[in-house]
Amino acid sequence: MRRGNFLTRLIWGLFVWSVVGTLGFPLFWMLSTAFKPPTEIFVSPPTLIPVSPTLDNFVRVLNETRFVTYFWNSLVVATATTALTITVSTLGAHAMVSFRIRGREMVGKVILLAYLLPSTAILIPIYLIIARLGLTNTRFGLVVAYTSLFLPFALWLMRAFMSGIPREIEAAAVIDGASRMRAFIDVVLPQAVPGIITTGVFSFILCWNEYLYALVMINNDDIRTLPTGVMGTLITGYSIEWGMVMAAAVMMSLPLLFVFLFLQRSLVAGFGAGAVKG
Amino acid sequence: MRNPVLGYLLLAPTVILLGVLVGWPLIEAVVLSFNQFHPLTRQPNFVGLRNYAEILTEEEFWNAFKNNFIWLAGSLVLQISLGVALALMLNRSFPGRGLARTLILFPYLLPVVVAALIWQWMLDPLNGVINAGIEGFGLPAVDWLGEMPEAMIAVITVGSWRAFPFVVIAVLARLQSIPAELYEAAEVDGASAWGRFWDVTMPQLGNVLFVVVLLRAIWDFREFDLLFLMTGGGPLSGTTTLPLLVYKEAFEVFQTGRAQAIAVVMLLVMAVLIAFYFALSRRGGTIDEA
Amino acid sequence: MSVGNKRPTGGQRDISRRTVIKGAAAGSALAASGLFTPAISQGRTKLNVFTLQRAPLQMEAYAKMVASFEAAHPDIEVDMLPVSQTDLWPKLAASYAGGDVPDLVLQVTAENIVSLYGQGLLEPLTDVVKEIGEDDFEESARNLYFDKGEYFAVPASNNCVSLLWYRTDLLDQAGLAPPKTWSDFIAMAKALTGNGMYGASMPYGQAAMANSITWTLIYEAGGLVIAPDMSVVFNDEPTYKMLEFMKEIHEYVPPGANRYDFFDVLNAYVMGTAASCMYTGRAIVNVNTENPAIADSIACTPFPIPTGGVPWWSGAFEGIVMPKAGKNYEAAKQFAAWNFKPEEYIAFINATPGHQIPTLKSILNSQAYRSDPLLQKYPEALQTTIDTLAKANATCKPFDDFPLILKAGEIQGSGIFAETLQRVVIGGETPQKAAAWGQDRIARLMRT
Repeated sequence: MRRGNFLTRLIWGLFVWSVVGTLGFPLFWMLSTAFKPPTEIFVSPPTLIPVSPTLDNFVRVLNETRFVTYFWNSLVVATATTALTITVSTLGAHAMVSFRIRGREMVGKVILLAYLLPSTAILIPIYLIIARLGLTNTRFGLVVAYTSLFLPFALWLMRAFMSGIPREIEAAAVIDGASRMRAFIDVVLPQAVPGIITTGVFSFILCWNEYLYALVMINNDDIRTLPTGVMGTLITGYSIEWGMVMAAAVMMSLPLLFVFLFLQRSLVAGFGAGAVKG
Repeated sequence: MRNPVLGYLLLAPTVILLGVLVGWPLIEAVVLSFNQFHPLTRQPNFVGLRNYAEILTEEEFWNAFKNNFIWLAGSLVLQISLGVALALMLNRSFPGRGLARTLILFPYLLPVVVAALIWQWMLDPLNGVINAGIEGFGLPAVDWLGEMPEAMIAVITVGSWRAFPFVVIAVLARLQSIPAELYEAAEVDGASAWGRFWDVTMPQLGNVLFVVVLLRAIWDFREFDLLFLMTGGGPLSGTTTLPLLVYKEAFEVFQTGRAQAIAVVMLLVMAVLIAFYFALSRRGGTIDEA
Repeated sequence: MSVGNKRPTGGQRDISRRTVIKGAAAGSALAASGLFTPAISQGRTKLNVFTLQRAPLQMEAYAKMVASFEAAHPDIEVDMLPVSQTDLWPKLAASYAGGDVPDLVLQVTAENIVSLYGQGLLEPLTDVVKEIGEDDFEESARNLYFDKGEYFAVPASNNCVSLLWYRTDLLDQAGLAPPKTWSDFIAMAKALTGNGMYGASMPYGQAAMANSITWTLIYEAGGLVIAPDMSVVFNDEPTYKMLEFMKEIHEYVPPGANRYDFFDVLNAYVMGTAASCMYTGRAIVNVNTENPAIADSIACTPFPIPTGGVPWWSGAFEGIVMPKAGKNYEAAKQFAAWNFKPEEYIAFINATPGHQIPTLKSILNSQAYRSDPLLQKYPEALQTTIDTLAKANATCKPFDDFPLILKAGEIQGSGIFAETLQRVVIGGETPQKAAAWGQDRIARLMRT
């Protein structure tokens, strides 16, 4: 009985791992290619694990391209957008959830509609607005554009989280004599932390990955972000060095994986909760 | 509750930002759709409904419309079935489950650009690992992104590969909250494993799948980056969906007005679809608004 | 299900809360330090310059050119942005919408220059041409950009895509002579295909190269896209002939050619996958750096002309233009002229030896230019390129007495050509049907 159970588990485990392995193969292939010297990349049939692994591709990406500049720009833009959307959406969601104020239903509907907007549809109008604000070709311009893209989503998510927080807790604090604002900061906010983390990470990921707006709006190599920077310098149209491309791909994915691993527990709970709640 | 002033104050940044960054562009988008507008000379020229009349009578629009639905349906079916299957697998214990649960989420976190690059490299007709595998079995090489329907199959696969972890997360979270008593009761009633799945698990998943399908449908319907980076809409216009057509009209043929008209139609289509989906699922009774 | 159920335990919550607060503080500091740094430095004129030739070696040459310019003009700062052929119009549109138009655009191909001029967007650069020396410019390049008494662009260099590169070793083995006609070319491609080798590398992707060579092949077949009266004549026999030719040669191109743009077409030849390709002199440098094993067996010939066709070859006639909406005319003109300072000019041109040919006669014939080791190594290829360019025209002004096709850039950038080609080659439509579709779409473009 016990032995049979173990055997079943083992077979089941092997089966699941083979599925997971297949789905993870592209990631393995990215890593494998990134560590191959140019001569090994076009070997036929391809070698699964680099025969003569090298860090050359990584060194060349760092030395020969402006990867570090793009990385910094991505970091600044994604962090600033995240800070802005988190602040605004936390306050907004709180107002919508725990204040019975006029028009909150209306705001909710507008958020859903805004959330549905295809980003291509408002690309040109947004650009015109940023131009009128004199923010073209600045990181702040991108922050403004990204806020328009991600704020509706952040609001949607935060509202779902906030409405899951028992209202009695806040009510109790208010009755205790704390002001509404204090009650919000001391009682509601700590409860909302998992939601804030989830929303923040989501917004960070979306900013880190965004391509279209960055492509069209940034004309200055000093402030390009990673996706367009990497595409523009490594896929030049004159040569594609797959080793370098994959090395850059690894390096631009790492921060997200790192953030994710660091916050995994609360994220998975948050993802699930936020998505399921709707 | 009391103190509505504070409520308005907290809501103000939201309303202002939404107004400036979503409302205003939206109005501008609609206004532009009634104009002819060259992005370099930038002199709007009012043409009334002509843009709409033109796009709705041209094969390009309907082709993109059709592609949009093929892409949407294909991606949804693949990512949902893959995601649910994986979630069920990862819900049962096996050696290394924790690690597997973490690894499986990685595709979702990758930048689109990275996903597109990896797959383009793997799908490369001459040096790609996928064709190397196919040729290893003695089959002819496939030009994955240069032929139809191969290109559509490839982008649907890549899109679903990127998105299925989201389904896994959501479904897994729900699975873990199904009370064990339900299964025990079913087992006492003599239900088979399959029967338990259909009678206990699936009804519990109905709710979460409804939301997941809705969210993924919204995201996939308007997906631009992945398709643009993988195929650019080609070959022919085989993978040109509505967002790509908007981009082409706006930036390749400089028909900003027509591009905005397509975008407005797209918005209406999405609104109708979502309303329809809500109505359908209410009547079917698969969701109780718990 | 509600979020409250999933609340973490107290200890964890405190940690994550602190993490978040710290993170937010760090975030704002980070944001404040980098966010508002404007792209303008105090007290210096900042020139925003786009360039369309942007291979790594060319960018290196540009970096040196910028450095020497900035050293001589301490009050000017040059910011050079490489822009791909495919991104040019989207980028320009965005920069015009934002009122942040580049001060100069370098190495723009003729049809795009003419379209910008046609839209009234260019400021004349006559004084720059005069300063460099009007007579020193090669005549056809100079005449192309001269209209109403002004030069609307400075001819910067020329390159010739109307070349067919082939492998001498493979042709010798097969006992073939370099092809002179389209049918020769098809026969050669057929003969050389097999055993992992493909006979030819040609562009079929929805990208710049297929769009650009469509004009060339139609002109060769004796046709036109736009008639001198600016009516659209795309739907005609020569177009069908071009489409049939591209369909036939498609049998002998590497798998993946349906997505080929400039680089891919050349790369298939350079890496030894294809025995021939249509390309500029860039083949020289790429073969020598990337696959020196075949460096002694490469040669080129003017691109074949169909039997009964017109001997027509295409030059890119790259030029420097100054958008009217730019803000720093004087500084921009100074930098435009700096591009032609012999040392900088030759360094840039010979960053890709044989690819770009100088438009200044004094440079073309100078020892400094010709002494490049790779040019020394391939004298016939260089001579073929120079001779072909001497007979070449721009696609937007196919004959000397032809009026400028002011919508050439829009037509080429629209992708209508490449899509017409793909309809026939991939979609299996008849050339007639595809050309009728293309005609209709081009006509619509001409209307706006």
